[in-house]
Amino acid sequence: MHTDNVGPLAGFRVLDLSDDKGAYCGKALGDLGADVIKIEPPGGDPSRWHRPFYRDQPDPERSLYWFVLNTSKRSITLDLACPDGQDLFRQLVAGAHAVVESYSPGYLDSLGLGYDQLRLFKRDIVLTSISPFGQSGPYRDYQATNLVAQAMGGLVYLCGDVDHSPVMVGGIQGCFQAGLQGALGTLFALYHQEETGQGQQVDVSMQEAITGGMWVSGPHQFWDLSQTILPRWGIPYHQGPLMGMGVRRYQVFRVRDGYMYGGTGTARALPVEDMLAWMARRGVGQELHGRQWSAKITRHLNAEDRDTMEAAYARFVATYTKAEIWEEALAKRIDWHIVQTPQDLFECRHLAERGFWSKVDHPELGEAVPYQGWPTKMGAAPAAIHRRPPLIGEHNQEIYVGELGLSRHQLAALKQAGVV
Amino acid sequence: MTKLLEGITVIDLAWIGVGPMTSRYLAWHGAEVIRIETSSRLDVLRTNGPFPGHVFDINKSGMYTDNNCNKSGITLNLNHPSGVDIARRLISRADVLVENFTPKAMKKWGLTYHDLVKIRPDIIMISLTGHGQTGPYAMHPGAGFSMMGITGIANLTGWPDQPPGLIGPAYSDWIAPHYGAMAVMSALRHRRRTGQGQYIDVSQYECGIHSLGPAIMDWAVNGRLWERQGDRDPAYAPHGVYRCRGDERWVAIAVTNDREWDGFCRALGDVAWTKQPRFDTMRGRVRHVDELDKLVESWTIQLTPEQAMARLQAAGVPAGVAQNSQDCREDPQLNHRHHFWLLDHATIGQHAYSTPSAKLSGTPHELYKAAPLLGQDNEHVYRDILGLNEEEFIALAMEGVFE
Repeated sequence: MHTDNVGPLAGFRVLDLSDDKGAYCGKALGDLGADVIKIEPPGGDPSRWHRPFYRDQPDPERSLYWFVLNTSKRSITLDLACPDGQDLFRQLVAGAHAVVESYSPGYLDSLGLGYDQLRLFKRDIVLTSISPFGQSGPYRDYQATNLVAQAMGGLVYLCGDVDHSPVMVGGIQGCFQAGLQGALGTLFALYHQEETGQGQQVDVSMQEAITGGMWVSGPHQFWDLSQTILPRWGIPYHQGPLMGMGVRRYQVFRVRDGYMYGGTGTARALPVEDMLAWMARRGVGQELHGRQWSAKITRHLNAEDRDTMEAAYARFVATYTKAEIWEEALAKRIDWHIVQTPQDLFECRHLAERGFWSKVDHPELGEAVPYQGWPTKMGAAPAAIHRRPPLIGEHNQEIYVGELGLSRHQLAALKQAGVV
Repeated sequence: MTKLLEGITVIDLAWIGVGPMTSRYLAWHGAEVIRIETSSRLDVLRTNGPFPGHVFDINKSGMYTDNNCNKSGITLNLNHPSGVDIARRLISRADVLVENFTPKAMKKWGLTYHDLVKIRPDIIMISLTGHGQTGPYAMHPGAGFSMMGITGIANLTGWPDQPPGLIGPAYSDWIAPHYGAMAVMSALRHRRRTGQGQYIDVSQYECGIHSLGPAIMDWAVNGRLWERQGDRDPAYAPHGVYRCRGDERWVAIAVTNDREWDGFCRALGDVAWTKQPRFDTMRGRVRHVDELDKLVESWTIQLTPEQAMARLQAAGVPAGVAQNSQDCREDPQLNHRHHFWLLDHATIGQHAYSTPSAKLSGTPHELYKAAPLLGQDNEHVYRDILGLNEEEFIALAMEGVFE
């Protein structure tokens, strides 16, 4: 872990006012080298109370949820609702390149801290706003969570079994996508700012961050081009006639200790003979020998042969463990992948060899915690976790006194007044 | 309007999803992007549809078109020695090269980063593959569907008593492009400050893991493995997708605190069951979630999902329609944001394209060119941009270099 931020975005300063909806945005910019200052209300960002907690101890300094979204940031506390707090914020803006926020649309304006007002203090400021549905429009004041954003974005409708209600995609996709795409939008604006001295607003919608994501069954294309409503595929995945080729590509199969993605029509598929020989070595599929197949390569089989072959696959792969079938897939270079748990990820030799995990010291916890490293390896200017997530207001002294030039006495008075 | 990346040239040697979506970001923001394809091995998306009227046509696939707006499309046979030479000439005048082949292919063609810095010292080259350029899985193929397995996304999607996954779209393909574009923009900024280009190695596997942060940390620190939980959340109830009036109509509802529960009860007209003491606290609601979900659905089933959403949102409760293809295309909010941009395609006619979710006020994205037909811009690129004369162009075409 480095103590000073370096990396390709070194030199940019970003003020991060966001809660968990926008936190990944600041994390991304910070890991890439920007100096990101998290501005928390006195007492801390409410999303510090999100589970899970370190060793299950509920404490705003121990939220693992908060940790993963807030690496490479410094933290100060500030009450934006009071005039003294707003005045301090304007001073901070004067020395910053971008502000990231995720308040309800219009809230910053109501405090006199909207884009037009901030420009008076920093002519070329970039203001990135991350909200459920965007800063204007009929749903601007609607609320959304991860689930609701995935539903309104069109993702939920397409997921789950046909006999059950649709499901959301696991993980923190709504906040993650909005934060990630918000970071990219902010970076575009910063790139332009540095070149031209012009600032601008970046308006990010969680709903839209999901909608744009369903390209392989992009809803608008299906409706636009063929007036088709895509159904849930359920089990197995069936990329049927709607997809043009009538090819079923991937299925989820049960193996001895878990599941895997495979199928006859995956991106790389084996010749039928090789498949039969492989199955025979496991004592499966004798009934498939001595007959004519409709194609030499499994992915081109006709529907009937494909069904026959896939039924045999199910029996065949069930004789393997995840680890065994994965070694086979790797050796044969076929596009089968096992379904991994976080435990599998930590035990993955590939991730270990690529140095994916980054142990970050948390002196307060008395241990180094493994974090996910940045997933793009840049030869000349690498990204990294430059700091562990900050404690609440950890950098008040450093920033207010050391950088903003307040006296210790003034800082103490602000603390007394509850501003900091 | 200023184009943010005016003057930046990108060679897009990628295919299918992740690579072309990375370069699409640059195209949306004004870079000149030249997409290289080959007719001997078509981009799979050209064959996947959806097609207008369900009629197969490699120039009319909606999945292809959406990823390739604003790009010039050329065909080039890299297995012909002159093809590689042409590619090198195109790259020598480019700022960025995007590719997503397995590590072996670029070596075979002599188009590795080490080869290319000799002809363009400050080139920014980005490779986006399933597993990255190094490590024991580097040569393993990875596609958006099966990658949902290895990243761990599938494991957390679905119900505990059903197989994992069941994700309709190749969702993991929609993660790496953002990281890819961010890396390119960071590298362009680094080059502007230092004059230095660089090589960027993106692993789709590693990108996908980032979307599961808290679940990963819970294992790393507490040794707890999360179960699939469908649409439920262990901390909140009601939290789910409920059936509404109509065929396959659903509404998602998430009540995440007591204030929202009060709003929820109000929206239902304070019906008697909402006043049962066991539902008074979040803890109680979570404990009795099975009964609660049935009662919630007894209300939603009487309404369209739009009605349920409107009533709940008016009471401050996060709720939204589980929107289908038509709903999304016609969604008033997405259309207010001009999410869909209509362009005139050479053979489809006018149809809709996606736009980025981050809208910039000063230097907005702009869509001005529909996706190319296969090889549509050969003449323009090879003659006007690369400067081949008619004789050279015809001779190379006759040799099959532009196939």
